[in-house]
Amino acid sequence: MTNTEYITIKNASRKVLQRMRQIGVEKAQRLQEVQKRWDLGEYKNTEVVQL
Amino acid sequence: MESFVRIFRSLTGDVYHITLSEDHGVLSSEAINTLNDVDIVGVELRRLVGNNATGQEVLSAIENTIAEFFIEHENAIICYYCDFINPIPHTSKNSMPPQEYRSRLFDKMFQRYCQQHGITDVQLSVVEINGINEKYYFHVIYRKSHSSVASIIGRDLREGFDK
Repeated sequence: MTNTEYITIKNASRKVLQRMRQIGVEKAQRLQEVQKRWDLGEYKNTEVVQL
Repeated sequence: MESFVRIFRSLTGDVYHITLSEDHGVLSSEAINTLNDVDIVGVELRRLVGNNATGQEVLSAIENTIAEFFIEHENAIICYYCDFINPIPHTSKNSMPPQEYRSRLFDKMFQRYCQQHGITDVQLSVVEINGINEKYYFHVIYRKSHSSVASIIGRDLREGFDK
Protein backbone atom coordinates (compact mmCIF):
# COMPACT_ATOMS: atom_id res chain seq x y z
CA MET A 1 0.00 0.00 0.00
CA THR A 2 1.39 3.38 -0.94
CA ASN A 3 1.17 6.46 1.24
CA THR A 4 1.59 8.78 -1.72
CA GLU A 5 -1.01 10.59 -3.78
CA TYR A 6 -0.17 12.46 -6.97
CA ILE A 7 -1.90 15.65 -8.01
CA THR A 8 -1.27 17.37 -11.33
CA ILE A 9 -2.28 20.96 -11.93
CA LYS A 10 -2.35 21.59 -15.66
CA ASN A 11 -4.11 24.89 -15.94
CA ALA A 12 -2.45 27.05 -13.32
CA SER A 13 -2.82 30.75 -13.88
CA ARG A 14 0.10 32.97 -14.84
CA LYS A 15 0.03 34.45 -11.34
CA VAL A 16 0.36 31.02 -9.71
CA LEU A 17 3.20 30.07 -12.06
CA GLN A 18 5.00 33.33 -11.35
CA ARG A 19 4.66 32.66 -7.64
CA MET A 20 6.00 29.10 -8.03
CA ARG A 21 9.01 30.40 -9.92
CA GLN A 22 9.59 33.11 -7.33
CA ILE A 23 9.50 30.53 -4.50
CA GLY A 24 12.18 28.56 -6.35
CA VAL A 25 14.38 31.60 -6.88
CA GLU A 26 14.06 32.61 -3.21
CA LYS A 27 14.91 29.07 -2.10
CA ALA A 28 18.00 28.98 -4.33
CA GLN A 29 19.12 32.30 -2.82
CA ARG A 30 18.71 30.95 0.72
CA LEU A 31 20.75 27.87 -0.20
CA GLN A 32 23.47 30.11 -1.66
CA GLU A 33 23.48 32.02 1.62
CA VAL A 34 24.03 28.77 3.56
CA GLN A 35 26.96 27.99 1.28
CA LYS A 36 28.42 31.45 1.84
CA ARG A 37 28.14 31.08 5.61
CA TRP A 38 29.86 27.69 5.45
CA ASP A 39 32.65 29.11 3.28
CA LEU A 40 33.14 31.95 5.78
CA GLY A 41 33.48 29.45 8.63
CA GLU A 42 30.30 30.50 10.39
CA TYR A 43 29.33 26.88 11.12
CA LYS A 44 32.63 26.03 12.83
CA ASN A 45 30.84 25.65 16.17
CA THR A 46 28.14 23.42 14.70
CA GLU A 47 28.67 19.70 15.05
CA VAL A 48 29.28 17.86 11.79
CA VAL A 49 27.90 14.34 12.16
CA GLN A 50 30.12 11.71 10.55
CA LEU A 51 27.97 9.05 8.89
CA MET B 1 9.21 27.35 16.23
CA GLU B 2 12.99 27.24 16.22
CA SER B 3 14.82 26.26 13.06
CA PHE B 4 16.45 22.86 13.15
CA VAL B 5 19.83 22.47 11.43
CA ARG B 6 21.89 19.35 10.98
CA ILE B 7 25.18 19.00 9.12
CA PHE B 8 26.63 15.63 8.24
CA ARG B 9 29.61 14.25 6.40
CA SER B 10 29.26 11.23 4.13
CA LEU B 11 31.65 8.29 3.91
CA THR B 12 33.15 9.92 0.80
CA GLY B 13 33.73 13.21 2.63
CA ASP B 14 30.88 15.24 1.13
CA VAL B 15 29.16 17.60 3.58
CA TYR B 16 25.39 18.11 3.58
CA HIS B 17 23.32 20.75 5.38
CA ILE B 18 19.65 20.29 6.13
CA THR B 19 17.35 22.90 7.60
CA LEU B 20 13.78 22.44 8.81
CA SER B 21 12.08 25.70 9.64
CA GLU B 22 8.69 27.32 9.74
CA ASP B 23 7.86 28.49 6.25
CA HIS B 24 4.56 30.12 5.44
CA GLY B 25 5.95 31.86 2.36
CA VAL B 26 4.39 29.31 0.05
CA LEU B 27 0.85 30.07 1.18
CA SER B 28 -1.50 32.99 0.69
CA SER B 29 -2.42 35.02 3.78
CA GLU B 30 -5.97 33.66 3.56
CA ALA B 31 -4.72 30.07 3.86
CA ILE B 32 -2.34 30.98 6.69
CA ASN B 33 -5.29 32.32 8.66
CA THR B 34 -7.01 28.92 8.51
CA LEU B 35 -4.05 26.93 9.85
CA ASN B 36 -4.87 27.34 13.56
CA ASP B 37 -2.11 25.55 15.48
CA VAL B 38 -0.61 23.72 12.49
CA ASP B 39 2.96 24.66 11.56
CA ILE B 40 4.07 24.57 7.95
CA VAL B 41 7.70 23.48 7.93
CA GLY B 42 9.95 23.83 4.90
CA VAL B 43 12.87 21.50 4.14
CA GLU B 44 16.05 22.88 2.60
CA LEU B 45 18.97 20.69 1.69
CA ARG B 46 22.34 21.80 0.41
CA ARG B 47 25.54 19.95 -0.38
CA LEU B 48 28.28 22.19 0.97
CA VAL B 49 31.36 20.16 0.09
CA GLY B 50 32.10 17.51 -2.50
CA ASN B 51 30.66 16.23 -5.71
CA ASN B 52 30.47 12.47 -5.21
CA ALA B 53 27.41 10.41 -5.97
CA THR B 54 25.05 10.57 -2.99
CA GLY B 55 25.26 7.30 -1.09
CA GLN B 56 22.55 5.34 0.63
CA GLU B 57 23.85 6.40 4.06
CA VAL B 58 23.23 10.04 3.14
CA LEU B 59 19.69 9.37 1.93
CA SER B 60 18.97 7.45 5.14
CA ALA B 61 20.38 10.30 7.23
CA ILE B 62 18.09 12.77 5.43
CA GLU B 63 15.08 10.48 5.92
CA ASN B 64 15.86 10.02 9.61
CA THR B 65 16.39 13.74 10.19
CA ILE B 66 13.04 14.66 8.66
CA ALA B 67 11.27 11.78 10.43
CA GLU B 68 12.73 12.68 13.85
CA PHE B 69 11.63 16.28 13.43
CA PHE B 70 8.17 15.27 12.26
CA ILE B 71 7.68 12.86 15.18
CA GLU B 72 8.78 15.51 17.69
CA HIS B 73 6.46 18.15 16.23
CA GLU B 74 2.93 16.78 16.29
CA ASN B 75 1.44 19.85 14.64
CA ALA B 76 3.90 20.03 11.79
CA ILE B 77 3.14 19.60 8.13
CA ILE B 78 6.33 19.20 6.11
CA CYS B 79 6.54 20.98 2.76
CA TYR B 80 9.34 20.32 0.32
CA TYR B 81 9.61 22.47 -2.78
CA CYS B 82 11.87 20.80 -5.36
CA ASP B 83 14.64 23.17 -6.40
CA PHE B 84 14.72 23.65 -10.18
CA ILE B 85 17.78 25.92 -10.31
CA ASN B 86 20.70 23.95 -8.84
CA PRO B 87 21.69 21.03 -11.10
CA ILE B 88 22.05 17.43 -9.94
CA PRO B 89 25.68 16.27 -10.15
CA HIS B 90 26.39 13.20 -12.26
CA THR B 91 23.31 13.53 -14.45
CA SER B 92 23.50 14.15 -18.19
CA LYS B 93 22.07 17.25 -19.81
CA ASN B 94 19.44 15.15 -21.55
CA SER B 95 18.13 13.51 -18.42
CA MET B 96 15.06 14.72 -16.58
CA PRO B 97 14.99 18.25 -15.10
CA PRO B 98 16.51 18.56 -11.61
CA GLN B 99 13.19 19.34 -9.93
CA GLU B 100 11.63 16.18 -11.37
CA TYR B 101 14.65 14.13 -10.30
CA ARG B 102 14.40 15.54 -6.78
CA SER B 103 10.67 14.90 -6.70
CA ARG B 104 11.01 11.25 -7.71
CA LEU B 105 13.87 10.68 -5.29
CA PHE B 106 12.04 12.32 -2.38
CA ASP B 107 8.95 10.24 -3.12
CA LYS B 108 11.00 7.02 -3.17
CA MET B 109 12.72 7.95 0.09
CA PHE B 110 9.37 8.64 1.76
CA GLN B 111 7.85 5.37 0.56
CA ARG B 112 10.88 3.37 1.61
CA TYR B 113 10.93 4.94 5.07
CA CYS B 114 7.21 4.23 5.54
CA GLN B 115 7.62 0.62 4.46
CA GLN B 116 10.66 0.04 6.67
CA HIS B 117 8.93 1.51 9.71
CA GLY B 118 5.39 0.26 9.09
CA ILE B 119 3.97 3.77 8.91
CA THR B 120 0.39 3.98 7.68
CA ASP B 121 -0.98 7.15 9.23
CA VAL B 122 1.27 9.60 7.37
CA GLN B 123 0.61 10.70 3.81
CA LEU B 124 2.65 12.37 1.09
CA SER B 125 0.94 14.51 -1.53
CA VAL B 126 3.06 15.23 -4.59
CA VAL B 127 1.76 18.28 -6.40
CA GLU B 128 3.02 18.77 -9.94
CA ILE B 129 2.28 22.16 -11.44
CA ASN B 130 2.73 22.36 -15.18
CA GLY B 131 4.25 25.65 -16.21
CA ILE B 132 4.85 26.96 -19.71
CA ASN B 133 8.53 26.02 -19.92
CA GLU B 134 9.01 23.95 -16.80
CA LYS B 135 7.23 22.00 -14.12
CA TYR B 136 7.20 22.73 -10.41
CA TYR B 137 6.99 20.03 -7.75
CA PHE B 138 5.75 20.52 -4.27
CA HIS B 139 5.62 17.77 -1.64
CA VAL B 140 3.44 17.85 1.46
CA ILE B 141 3.90 15.30 4.26
CA TYR B 142 1.11 15.22 6.81
CA ARG B 143 -0.55 13.04 9.37
CA LYS B 144 -3.91 11.75 8.19
CA SER B 145 -5.47 13.68 11.07
CA HIS B 146 -4.34 16.84 9.22
CA SER B 147 -5.94 15.87 5.90
CA SER B 148 -8.23 18.88 5.90
CA VAL B 149 -5.27 21.25 6.30
CA ALA B 150 -3.41 19.47 3.51
CA SER B 151 -6.45 20.01 1.28
CA ILE B 152 -6.36 23.72 2.09
CA ILE B 153 -2.69 23.81 1.09
CA GLY B 154 -3.42 21.99 -2.16
CA ARG B 155 -6.28 24.35 -3.01
CA ASP B 156 -4.13 27.32 -2.09
CA LEU B 157 -1.29 26.20 -4.37
CA ARG B 158 -3.82 25.95 -7.21
CA GLU B 159 -5.68 29.18 -6.75
CA GLY B 160 -4.54 31.05 -3.66
CA PHE B 161 -2.40 33.57 -5.49
CA ASP B 162 -5.11 34.36 -8.03
CA LYS B 163 -7.10 36.28 -5.47
